[in-house]
Amino acid sequence: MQLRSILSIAGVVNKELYRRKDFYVLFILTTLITGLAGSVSFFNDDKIVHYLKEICLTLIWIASLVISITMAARQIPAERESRTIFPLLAKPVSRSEVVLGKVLGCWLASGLALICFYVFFILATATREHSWPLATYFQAIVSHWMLLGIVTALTVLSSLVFSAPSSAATVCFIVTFGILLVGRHLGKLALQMQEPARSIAYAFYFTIPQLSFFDIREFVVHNYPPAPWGAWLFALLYGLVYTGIFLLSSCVLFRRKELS
Amino acid sequence: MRLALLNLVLLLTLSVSLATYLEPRYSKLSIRGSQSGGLIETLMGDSRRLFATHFLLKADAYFHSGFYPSIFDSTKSFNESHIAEVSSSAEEAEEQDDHHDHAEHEDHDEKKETFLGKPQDWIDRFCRNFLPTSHTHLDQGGASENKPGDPDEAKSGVREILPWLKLSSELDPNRTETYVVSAYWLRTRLKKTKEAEDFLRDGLRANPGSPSILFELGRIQEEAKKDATLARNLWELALKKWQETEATKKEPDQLLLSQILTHLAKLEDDQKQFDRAIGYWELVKRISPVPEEIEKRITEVKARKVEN
Repeated sequence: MQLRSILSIAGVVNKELYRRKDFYVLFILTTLITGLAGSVSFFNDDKIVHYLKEICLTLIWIASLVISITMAARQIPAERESRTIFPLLAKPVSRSEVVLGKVLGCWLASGLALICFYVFFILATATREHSWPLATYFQAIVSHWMLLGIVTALTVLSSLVFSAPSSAATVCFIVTFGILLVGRHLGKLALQMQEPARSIAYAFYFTIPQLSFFDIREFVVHNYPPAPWGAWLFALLYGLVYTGIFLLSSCVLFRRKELS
Repeated sequence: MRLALLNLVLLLTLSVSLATYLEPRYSKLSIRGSQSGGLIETLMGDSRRLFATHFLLKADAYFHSGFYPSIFDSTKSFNESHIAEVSSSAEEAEEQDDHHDHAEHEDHDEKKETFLGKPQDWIDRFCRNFLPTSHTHLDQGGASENKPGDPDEAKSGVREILPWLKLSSELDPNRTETYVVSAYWLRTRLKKTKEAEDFLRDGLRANPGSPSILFELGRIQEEAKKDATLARNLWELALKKWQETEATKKEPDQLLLSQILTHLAKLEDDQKQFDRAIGYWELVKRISPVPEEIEKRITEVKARKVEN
């Protein structure tokens, strides 16, 4: 496996972020809505900021998920549809390298998008709050990026399972939002169920990637001190393991897939 | 070119004529729109009440810096909106000595902070590293690592709940609790008397004769503006409205009645109208859970009457 091949494929994928209009539209929408929310005066108090942080962070999360899922979902199906996958594989590049390059490219592109979004968020917050909780911001950005890594790998895997990019993207949106909303509570819900539903729910609970480990928006919004660094690093490791599992599954699946 | 311009003018004239013809008829047809509703009611209908409740709970969650149960958690310890609970009990406790002051309220909360319960497994335990797990109140500095040294600055942190309260009142203008709670925090912690009064007057316009809003307005007149006459008038009106609206209910708001009567009694006592003060204290005694304490107050007022 050659790192150079993977990086060059990733570079091509990365350029897609600049070429397509998704990122620009979502970024402008985020800035517009945040600006609009920030311009509202509540009881003539210009120091109110937490609501603005929450709105802006929610928009950033939605935008980043939209960018990474839609981008990852169309990578391999688009190559197959336009038949550019054949000249690509005719080069000295293995199928696994193609998958790894695609995932890495999407992940790097979503990281770049995240940096733009968070720079805007930090500046918008600082204009009102006049504080720089950099450690919490750092944790929030890296955790968010790790989450996008898992989601990107999962989306590429599902794009190999489902024939159309739209169905792969839809499934991934449902799964991601479902895990973010209910994943953490599935254990509690399982307790209230009867067998065999309880065992199935428990199996899901321990199998799915717990995306809430990467969601520290509450800490950012309410000015909490950073999360314990040991736990944060363990969460990143947990994320890397799940990304690796999805990548490995994608590579195995793509190697066995009929392309014609 | 000229023909196109003429056509354009013709079309504009037609559209203005049509608008002037249709507008009065539409107003008659749209009864809801012409009554008060506005855009939000037209668009959202009764679902806006659900959102109003959600935003009121959101304000409470902000008051606790995000330490708040989700729909999956046990809500036994958070079965009531704390921002409302604190605003109605804190000052009332001072007046009535009904052994429920603010500090006790918080101690009580600390002991009860069990909605998270014991971690059920490693995922549940590990998750808590990334969630608010300590019970704090915004008016005491909140969850921030660098709490402000100035107590007034710390108290003003409660401003963060205001956008959600305002939004809740926009969505459901008939929920009087939202106006009273907002005015309480504006008046006591943020010292924004004018904004509190304006907001209460908005609430009074949406809920004419609401005894709780009238009572809160009276408090602003007495405490911030030192206008005893206006405060008395407002509280007397609140009492009258309470008797008209609440007295006939199956479970009337006795706490509100007790607050109105207590404040009236204290006001009359301060104004040296001892007979009227005793009259109000007698009414308080009938509904108070600690009538012996009220009896002591009555004895004190009688003593002052003799002295004067």
